Amino acid sequence: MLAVEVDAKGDLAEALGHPPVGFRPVVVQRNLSVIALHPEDSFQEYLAIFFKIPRFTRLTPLAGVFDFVATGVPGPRDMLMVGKIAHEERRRETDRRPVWDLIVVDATSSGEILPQLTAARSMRRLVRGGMLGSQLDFVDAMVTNHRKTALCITALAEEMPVAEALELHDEVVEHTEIGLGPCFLNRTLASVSSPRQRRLVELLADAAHAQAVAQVLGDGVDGLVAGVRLADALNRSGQPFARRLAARMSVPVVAVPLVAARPGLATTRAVAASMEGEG
Amino acid sequence: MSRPLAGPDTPGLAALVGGLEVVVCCGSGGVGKTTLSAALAAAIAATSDRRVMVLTIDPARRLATALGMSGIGADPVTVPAARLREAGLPLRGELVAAMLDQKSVWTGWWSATLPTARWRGGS
Repeated sequence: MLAVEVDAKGDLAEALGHPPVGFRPVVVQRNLSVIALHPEDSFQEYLAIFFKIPRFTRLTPLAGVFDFVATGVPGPRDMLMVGKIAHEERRRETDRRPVWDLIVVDATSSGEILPQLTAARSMRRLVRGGMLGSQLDFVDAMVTNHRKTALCITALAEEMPVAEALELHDEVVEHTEIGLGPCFLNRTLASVSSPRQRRLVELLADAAHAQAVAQVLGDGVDGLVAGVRLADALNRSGQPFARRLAARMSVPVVAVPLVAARPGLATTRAVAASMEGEG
Repeated sequence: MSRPLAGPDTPGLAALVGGLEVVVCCGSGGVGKTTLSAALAAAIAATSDRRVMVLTIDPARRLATALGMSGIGADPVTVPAARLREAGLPLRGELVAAMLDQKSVWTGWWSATLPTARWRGGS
């Protein structure tokens, strides 16, 4: 069993009849070890394990570590994404041309994206100079260069996705230097019928006419009527959220139409075609 | 600031993302980030001669599915132009896809960016 002391007062080891212990586990009794966690030691080990940074690397004072922890310790996953993007962005052909003209990142959900994109800056507060410092500077400069990098928020015309999109938007604008690209309002459903068409559909559904229509068509029109009503209802229910999103966003909102197909190349083609249409 | 949804007065896609080098698509779960990322990359590769890479963090095969491929790994793989053309997406540029494989990317990146054994934690 490992008992972990986190306030570094040494009380825990003492209570177990052992002098104060340090960052390495010490066996104090049979099957019982104690370790005292010190934030800076912990962070040094964290860097050593995940970043292979030698433990003699100078860190800022302890206050910096606390700031760092308070703003969200960037785990390997956080640095991983932004590090990979930076690596690919930096790659050059033998003639010095960039390997990629554009990198499109299918990233994480709203709640995780900012810790990832700001991971380099968070770490930079702790690392003074050196090679790691310049690497972090490079990553941070790439992320915050509005001419190079943009964060495109994607939403649906529904309550929660719009609320989260606006929350992320405000967070980016108010607390980061990250540039925002267009916001994509995905799966929008344009009105599929005019008022006259809707009136016609309702007449078709009317019991007075339904039987006659069924005789002519050889089948009922229930499915058609339900489809038109559903599309209309979805369109109406999404409009307030779409309007709210457009009103609050500081960037253009690009409506991407719903493609009623299984995910695949056909869907991608249809969405891409709608985007090309915007251009 | 109030802005209308995209319409005749909204700048086109090329104007909105044309000069960028990195576009990060994010949003709540289930809003279609992967499909949009694939479509955005395809749309740009279709309308320009740029080399576009689409990079997913999702270990599921959604991006591969969206691009009509059986799978995507950590190494960038070119999406076959013939397959895209057959699907009605003729490209002027090039479309490449990759997935973030944590272990290999992590090791590779730090090995590449920290060039000395000392910085990599060696002696």
